Amino acid sequence: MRLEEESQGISAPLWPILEKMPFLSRYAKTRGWYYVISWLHRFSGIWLFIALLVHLYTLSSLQTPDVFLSDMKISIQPTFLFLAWASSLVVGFHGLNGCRLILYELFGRRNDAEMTRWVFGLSTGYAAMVGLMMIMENQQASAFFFWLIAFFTGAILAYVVASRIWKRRHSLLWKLQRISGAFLLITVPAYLLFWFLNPGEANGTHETILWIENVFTRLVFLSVAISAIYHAGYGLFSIAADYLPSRITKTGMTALITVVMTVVAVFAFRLILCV
Amino acid sequence: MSKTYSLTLTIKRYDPERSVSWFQTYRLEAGPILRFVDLFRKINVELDATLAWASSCEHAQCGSCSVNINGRPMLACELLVENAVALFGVTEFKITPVSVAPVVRDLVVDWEKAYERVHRSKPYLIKPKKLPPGMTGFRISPAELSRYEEATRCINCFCCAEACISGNRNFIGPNAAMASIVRMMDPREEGKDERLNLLYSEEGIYRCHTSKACSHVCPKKIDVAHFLALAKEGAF
Amino acid sequence: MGKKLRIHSTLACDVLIIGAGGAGLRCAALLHERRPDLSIIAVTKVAHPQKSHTSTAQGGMAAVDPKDKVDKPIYHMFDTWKGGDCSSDQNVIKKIIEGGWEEVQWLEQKGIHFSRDEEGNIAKRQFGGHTLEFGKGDALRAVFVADRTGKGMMDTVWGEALKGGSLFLNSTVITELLFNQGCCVGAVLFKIKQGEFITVLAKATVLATGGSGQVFRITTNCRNNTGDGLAVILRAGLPVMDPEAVQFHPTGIVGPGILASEALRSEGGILRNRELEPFMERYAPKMKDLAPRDIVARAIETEIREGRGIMNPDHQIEHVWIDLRHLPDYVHEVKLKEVASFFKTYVNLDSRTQLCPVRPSNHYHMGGIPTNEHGEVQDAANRVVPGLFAVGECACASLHGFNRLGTNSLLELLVMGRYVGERVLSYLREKQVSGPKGAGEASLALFANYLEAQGRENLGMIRQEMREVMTRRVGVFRIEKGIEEAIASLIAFKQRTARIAISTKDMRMNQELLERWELDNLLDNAMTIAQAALMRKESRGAHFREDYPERSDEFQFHTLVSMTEFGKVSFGKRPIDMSIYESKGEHHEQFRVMPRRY
Ligand SMILES: Cc1cc2nc3c(=O)[nH]c(=O)nc-3n(C[C@H](O)[C@H](O)[C@H](O)COP(=O)(O)OP(=O)(O)OC[C@H]3O[C@@H](n4cnc5c(N)ncnc54)[C@H](O)[C@@H]3O)c2cc1C
Ligand code: HEM
Ligand code: HEM
Ligand code: SF4
Ligand code: F3S
Ligand code: FES
Repeated sequence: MRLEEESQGISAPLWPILEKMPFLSRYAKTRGWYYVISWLHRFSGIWLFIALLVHLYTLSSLQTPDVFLSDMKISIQPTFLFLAWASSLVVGFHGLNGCRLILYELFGRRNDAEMTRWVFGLSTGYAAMVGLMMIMENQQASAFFFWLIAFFTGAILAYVVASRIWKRRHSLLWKLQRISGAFLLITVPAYLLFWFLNPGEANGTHETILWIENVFTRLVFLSVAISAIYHAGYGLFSIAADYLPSRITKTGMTALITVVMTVVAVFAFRLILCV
Repeated sequence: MSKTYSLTLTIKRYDPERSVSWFQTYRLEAGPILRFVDLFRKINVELDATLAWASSCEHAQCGSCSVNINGRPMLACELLVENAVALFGVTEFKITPVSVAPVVRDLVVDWEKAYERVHRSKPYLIKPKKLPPGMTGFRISPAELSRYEEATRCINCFCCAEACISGNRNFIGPNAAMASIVRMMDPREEGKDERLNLLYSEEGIYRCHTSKACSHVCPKKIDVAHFLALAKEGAF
Repeated sequence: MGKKLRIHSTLACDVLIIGAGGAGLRCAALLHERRPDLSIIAVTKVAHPQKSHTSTAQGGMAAVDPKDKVDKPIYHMFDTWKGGDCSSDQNVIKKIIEGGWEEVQWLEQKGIHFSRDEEGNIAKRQFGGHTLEFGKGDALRAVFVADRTGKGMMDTVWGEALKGGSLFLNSTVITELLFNQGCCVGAVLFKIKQGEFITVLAKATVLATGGSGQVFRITTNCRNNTGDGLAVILRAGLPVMDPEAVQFHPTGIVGPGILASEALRSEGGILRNRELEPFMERYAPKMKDLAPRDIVARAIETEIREGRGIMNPDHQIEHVWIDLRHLPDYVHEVKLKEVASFFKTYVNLDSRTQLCPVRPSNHYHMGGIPTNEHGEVQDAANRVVPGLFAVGECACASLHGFNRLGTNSLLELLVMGRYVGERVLSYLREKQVSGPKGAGEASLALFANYLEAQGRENLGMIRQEMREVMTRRVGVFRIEKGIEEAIASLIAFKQRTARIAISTKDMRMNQELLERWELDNLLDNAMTIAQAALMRKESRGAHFREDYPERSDEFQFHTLVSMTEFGKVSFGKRPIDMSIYESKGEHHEQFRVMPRRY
C-alpha cells in the first residue's frame, strides 16, 4: 500500500517520533500529516487571535505612560516571558506554514515536503533566537532603521502576493487575507523581536516610549495591527463558514466577528495613537 | 490457502425500520489477498445475510464501495486483507459508512445526495467549442492534456470529501470542484465564466485550506490538492 | 409480515430508458439533442449512472478515421465478420462500422479526453483481430482514453444526458415490462432504496441493462451484471438470441477475475506457461498473443489442462503468466498505469519485475435480446415488438456474431445508441397506446413470494455453487455430458431456491430481497446459456464443443431461445444476414462463410 511512500518526505526524519504520538498519528495515518498540520495552523491562528485579545485588553489598562511604565515590569517576570516566548513559537509556526500555503496555492510550489521541514526548522531557530535575546537582554538597535527595513520588506512581500492574484476574479476579502498574511510574515516576527530586543530595562523603557512616539513607528504599528485584525477576522469567518449549517447562523457569525474585530481595531487605534 | 488471518470486523449498522444504529462484531478467517468486499460477502454467506453493503465494479473503477476503515475513507474493493493488516498494524477493523451522504442501511449510503454537488459543478462542457471545419478532431498536444489528465481519472468515490478538513457541509467538495477545474483547463470549454462563479464562491475553493487529505486518501492517487491550488492561483 | 406490497405511484414520460450505461445514455443524449422537449426517464440499478459497468472498459473503441490513409471501413467490417466466426449480421456490421467515426467526433466535441499523438491528434492503438487489407497487416484502429476508455465515454454520455435534463431513477430495477395490444407501454420498477414499486408509462421503452457475467464464477463483470434485462424479457414471453455465445477474456487476473486488458498484449506483453515458453506461437503462428480472444483463451485453458499451468495457492486456481517485465517504464507508468496497478493492488505483484498470473475469465455476452439493425426488439417469429427497443450488451443485433473483437463493444454502444434514438424519434410519431389495467401484479406476487418463503437454504451458497458449475461445465470448453450435468444442477438449484427465507422484512435497501430476485435471473440466464450450448452441436467462435470441435454449416443461424417456465425451453432460428456478400459489391467475396485461421 502507501505505507512506504508515506514514510518518505516530511515524515522521514520525524516519523519515528510522530508515529508514537497517539492522537496525531491516528490522523496522520487516515488523513495524512498535512491534515494534522492544517489543524495546527488553525489552532495556532485561533490562539494568536486570543493572545491578541488578551494582549490588547491588558495593554488598555496601561493607557497612561506612568502606569504603563510601572506595569511594564510585569512583562519581565519569567512566567510572562515564557508565555510571550511560547507565543512567538506559535507565530513562527503559523507564519511560516502560512508562507508555505501561500507558496503552494499561489506560486505553484508543490514540493512542500521540503518546505515543511523548513517550517519546523526555522520556527525552532526563530524561537531559540528570541529566547536567547530575552536572556541576553539589552541590545542596541536603531528603531527607525529597524522598522524601515521590516516594514518595506513586509510591504514588498505583500505586493508580490497581490500582483499574483489581484487581477483574478477571486473574492476581494480572500485576496486580502493572503496579502495581509504576506505582510505579517515579516512584520509580526519583526515586531516581536523588536520588543524582545530590549525588554523593559529602566532606560530601555524610556526608549520604548520614544520609539512608540515616533510617527513612523506608529504608522507601522497601525498597519501591523490592522493587518493582523483583518487577517484574523477573515480567518475566523473562514472557519465558521466551513461548519455553520445555515445561512442565518453564518450571517450572524459574520456580523459577530465584524463587530468584535471593529472593537478590537478601535482599541488598538486608541492604544497606538494615545500613548 | 498459503496463510490465513483471524480478523475481527466491527461494523456500524443502521436499521431504517427502527431508525437505530449499533456496532456489530464479526469474527472470520480470511486469506491474505481477499478484498474487503469479499469479506462482506463472506459475512453474508456464512454469518449474517442481513448486512447490507455497496459495491459494483469491485476493482476500484466506479467508487460505489467507499467506507471508513479504522477511520480512513477507502474503497472496500481495493483493500486486501494483508495490506490492511500492514497499513494499520492490527487485525481488528472498525468499519463505518461514509458521512458524505445519509445512510440508507448499514454501510449503504444515498450516493445521489452526494452526487448532487457534482451535478451542480456541471460535469460536462457548458459551451463546447465547435470543431474547426475540415477537421476530424481537435488538436490537443499531449503536454497540454497532461496538465489536467490526472484529474479526469476521478471516479467520484467521495473519499476525498469524506476526509477533507472542511467537512462536507458548506464546501462543494474536492471532487466536485475538480470536475469544474478540469473543464476550466480544457481548451474545448467556452463557458468558463459560469465555472468561475461557482469556484470563486463561498462554497468553492475558499473552503479548501490545503490540508491535502484529499490527495492522501484518493484511491486513484490523484493529487487533488494540486488542482484546487491551480484554481486558487487562477492558473487553469 | 403482513405488509401488503403495492404499486406506490405511477409516472409517465415519453421515453423510458432502462439501464443508464454507455448505450442507454448515448440514446438519451441523442434524444435530448434532437427533441429537447421530450421527457426522458433513465433508470439504473447502480447508485448513480457513472457507476455503470461501461466505466470499467479499458482498452479502446474501434473506429476507422476517414483521414486514415491505409485503413478502410471495409477492412474493419471484414475483421468483425471473420472475428465473429461468420455469424454476425452483415447489415448490422455495415451500419455500425460506417457510423463509427461520427461517434468519435461527437465524443470529441462533448469533451472526452482521448489520448493524443505527438501532433495532438487522436492517438490510435492496435487490438487483437483488427487488420488491414483482409488480414494482411495490423491496423491501428482503436481510439482510447489511456486505459480507461469506457470511463471517458461514460462520463461524456452521462454529462450530456444530465445536461439535457434526463430524470435519473438510480438504485432502481426493472421487474416487468408492460404491454397493451402487443405494444410495450412502459415497465414496473422497484426502487431499491425506498423499497417501493412504481409503474412508468412510456411511449417508447429502451432496454440497455448490460451484461450477465455474474452467471460465472470467474468474471470481469460487475456485481450488478446479473442478466436482469434478459430475465425480464424471457418472463415477457420473448426470446433471447445466441445465449450460448459467451466470451471468455484470456487474461483475467487470478482471483476475482479482474480484467487485465488486451492492451497489455498489444503493448508487447507475452503469455508464458510454467516452463516460461511463449506458447501462443504454437497456437496462432501469425498473430501470436494478439489472436482473437477465444483462440487465446482456449490456448491458455489447454496449457493449463495439459499440466503447463501454475497453481495459485491463495485462490486454488490454475493460471499462466503474462510477462510485462521487458516493457519500458513508460508503458507501466503512463500508458497502462491503471491495469499495471491492478496486479499490485489485487495480487501484490510488481509487473515491472515479476510475472503476473492470469487466466481466462468470463467477459462478454455476445448474445442477448434479439433486435433488428435499428434496435427494435423482435419476438420469436422475428416480428418487431412495437414500442420496445434494446441496445448495448443486453441486446443482440448482432454485430459480434459468436465472438466479439476487442473495442467493438464500445463502438456498438454508441453507434447503436444513436440509431435507436433516431428510431425512437420516428416511432414517437406513430399512434400511441394507453397503459394496461392491473399493471404490476406479477412483480408484486413474485416479491411477496420471496418474502414469505420459509426454509433453511442459503442464498449466497446456492449462487456460489451455480457460478462454479457454470464456469466448470459451460465455460471455455463444453461437452455434452458436462452441459447435461449443469442443466440438472440448475434445476436442483431452482428447487432449492424455494426454501430460501429472507430475514429482513423491511423493504428499504433490502439487499437479501434484491439478491434473491437476482438469483432467479441468474438461473434463468444460466439455463438458456446451457440449453443453447447443448443444442448447438458444433464449435463456433467462443462457443467451443470438445465433442464437436469444428464449425458446421448446419448451424449457420442465430439461436432463439424462449423459456416461459424454468428449464422448459423452445428453440427458434434467425437467419444470419449476408447482405454485404449478396450485394456482390467490391470485396464481397471476403464476406462469404469462410474458415477462421489466424
Ligand atoms: C472490464 C471490462 C473491460 C472492457 N473493455 C472494453 C473495451 O476496451 N472495449 C470495448 O469495446 N468493450 C469493452 N468491454 C465491454 C463493454 O464495456 C461492455 O460491453 C459495455 O460497457 C456494456 O455497456 P452497456 O451500456 O450495454 O451496459 P452497462 O454499462 O453495463 O450498463 C447497464 C446499465 O443498466 C443498469 N441495469 C442493470 N440491470 C438493471 C435492471 N434490472 N434494472 C434497471 N437497470 C439495470 C445498470 O445499472 C447500468 O446502468 C469491457 C467490459 C469489461 C467488463
Ligand atoms: C502574540 C504575540 C505578541 C506579543 C508577544 C506581543 C508583545 C508585546 C509587548 C511585549 C509589548 C510592549 C508592551 C508590553 O511589554 O506589555 C506590546 C505592545 C503592543 N502590542 Fe503586542 N505583542 C504581540 C502581538 C501583537 C499584535 C499581533 C498586535 C497587533 C494587533 C499587537 C499590538 C500591540 C500594541 C498595540 C502594543 C502597545 C503599543 C503601544 O502601547 O503603543 N501585539 N506587545
Ligand atoms: C505571521 C504571518 C502570518 C501568515 C503568513 C499567515 C498566513 C495565513 C494563511 C495563509 C492563512 C490561511 C489558511 C487557510 O485558511 O487556508 C491563515 C489563516 C489564519 N490566520 Fe494567519 N498568518 C499570519 C499571522 C497571523 C496572525 C498574527 C494571526 C492572529 C492574530 C493569524 C490568524 C489566523 C487565523 C485565525 C486563520 C484562520 C485559520 C483557518 O482558516 O484554519 N494569522 N494565516
Ligand atoms: S478525487 Fe479521488 S478520492 Fe476524490 S472522488 Fe475522485 S477518485 Fe475519489
Ligand atoms: S482535503 Fe480539503 S482542505 Fe483542500 S486540499 Fe483537499 S480540499
Ligand atoms: S466497487 Fe467499484 S470502486 Fe469499489
